[in-house]
Amino acid sequence: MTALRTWKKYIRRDWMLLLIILPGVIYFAVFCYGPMYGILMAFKDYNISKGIWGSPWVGLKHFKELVGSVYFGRLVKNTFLLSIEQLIWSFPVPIAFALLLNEIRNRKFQRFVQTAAYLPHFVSVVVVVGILKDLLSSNGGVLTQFFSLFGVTPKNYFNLPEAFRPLYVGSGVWQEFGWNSIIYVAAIAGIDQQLYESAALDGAGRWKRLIHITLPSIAPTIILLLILNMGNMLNIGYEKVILMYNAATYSTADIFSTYVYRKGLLNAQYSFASAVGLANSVINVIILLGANFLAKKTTEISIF
Amino acid sequence: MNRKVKLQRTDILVTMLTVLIIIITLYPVIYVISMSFSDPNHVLAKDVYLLPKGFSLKAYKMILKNKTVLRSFGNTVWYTIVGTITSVTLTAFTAYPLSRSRFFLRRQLSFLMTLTMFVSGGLIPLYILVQKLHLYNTRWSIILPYIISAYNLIITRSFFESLPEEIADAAKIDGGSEWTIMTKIFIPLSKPIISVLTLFYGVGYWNSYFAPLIFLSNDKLQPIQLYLRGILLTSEMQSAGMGMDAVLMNEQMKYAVIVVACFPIMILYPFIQKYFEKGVLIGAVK
Repeated sequence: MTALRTWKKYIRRDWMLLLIILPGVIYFAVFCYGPMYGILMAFKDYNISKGIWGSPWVGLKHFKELVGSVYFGRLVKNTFLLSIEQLIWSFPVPIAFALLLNEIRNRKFQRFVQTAAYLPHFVSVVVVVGILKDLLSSNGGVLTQFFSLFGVTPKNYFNLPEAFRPLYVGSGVWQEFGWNSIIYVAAIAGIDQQLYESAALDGAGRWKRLIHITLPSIAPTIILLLILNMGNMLNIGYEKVILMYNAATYSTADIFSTYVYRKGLLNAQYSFASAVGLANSVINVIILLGANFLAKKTTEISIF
Repeated sequence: MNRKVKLQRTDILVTMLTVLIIIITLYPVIYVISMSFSDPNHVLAKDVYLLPKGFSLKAYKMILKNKTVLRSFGNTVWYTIVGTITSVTLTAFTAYPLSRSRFFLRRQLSFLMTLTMFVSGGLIPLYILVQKLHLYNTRWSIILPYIISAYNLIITRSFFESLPEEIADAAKIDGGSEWTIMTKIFIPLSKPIISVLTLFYGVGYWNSYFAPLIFLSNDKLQPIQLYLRGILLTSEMQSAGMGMDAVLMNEQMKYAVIVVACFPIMILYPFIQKYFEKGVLIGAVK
């Protein structure tokens, strides 16, 4: 009774705030929590005319089908390898770049380099993949011509399974290293200049100052971002994979999310694809929690 | 003396490394622009390496005559303007109550909205939902499902929280409603975050291709990115069975369309630059 009365009091007091936030609440309820209800499909045989609730329950049938499928091992392997290679390359490069920027003494040049390095972030993924394909075209692409100077015979790299991961990761690093360095540049800018001055007085050279002052000062930022990156590791950009892969490269390029896309949207196996998607999300959450737990144990930095 | 020489050597190394990085970063961009302005014969011979060879605006003239390109470009402009305005407004409106410390649902709603960054229903349930709501093949299908990003919401809330609450309290005592406080006090003080939101959403809508790919099968509604995907990534099929002239132009047109599709962002780039650094850093605090 009293609880109800307090609620009524609150609503009377904050009705205008409630009204302001209402459209946002509706959005999250419909488009973010609505699809979570749709996950039920993964345990049913979804039938459009019967709807999600009316379709018959089939328990874990789709999950068993997934695990029993010949593609399961390949999907797990490809998803993990692509994520890990992505992390290994795209994580340290921005740090190295920020450290390099810090060593440039001419402020104007430094500013210019920074500006140029952010630019690719704003180029759409369609354009990035399109340009890459053009540069590497076996029919006179500029990079192909350049490689042929060293005696490399022209190849159609987009059809080579072993070229897929390097191309994916390399173009990703090209596009994001500048943008991802912003946060480290800011962290370096926040370091107390007196530390450098007294180190210089003690005779520490530039390399020593980098190792003993700059790196330890930005270490907390690095660790925090590493956890966040690891948590997001398996959420890799399938939008880009879909643009880059083809039947010839499925053996290395096909990952969980692209498999969901093909099975669900191209073959209309809604229930099975939802099950694959759910399996992928569950693995993601486990990795995020695991990364967070590890970080908490070792460094006392965590996001939760 | 010895020390000074050593330092200079480091500077040379740093400069060389930096210049190399800049070349790798900017070369593809310059190459595409040069190809689009070169003489079509050089484009076909693939002997343009850095600066344009010859000069020709043929490709651009062709774009101006190509109805599909113009329509796709117009669609993208529509999606970007309408999408950005609605997204920025809704994000600011949703963030404001979440930043008010006395709002009684503040913690619960904040938690539920942040959670969506980590868990989602996935692609297929969203697709079915969009069809159920009869949004499929409508212009709103690529705006509504993505109208608020939880990340942008959080940085906006943090920004509002950083504004002194005393101003709001003073206005409250003077009888100002929450609506007046938000629109007359908070929003005018929020230019930096509004610019950041406009930039993030704007670039997002401009560059998006996946939502249009799955939600818009009607050619008339497709944005420029889908058109680009067609000519850049599936062009082998298109050029088959065309005359020599058509092949020649098709080859160069793709560079021109890339330039046109990237142009608005590149033009705005110098002006918005200072804001996006700020945006990343506001986000980093939380």
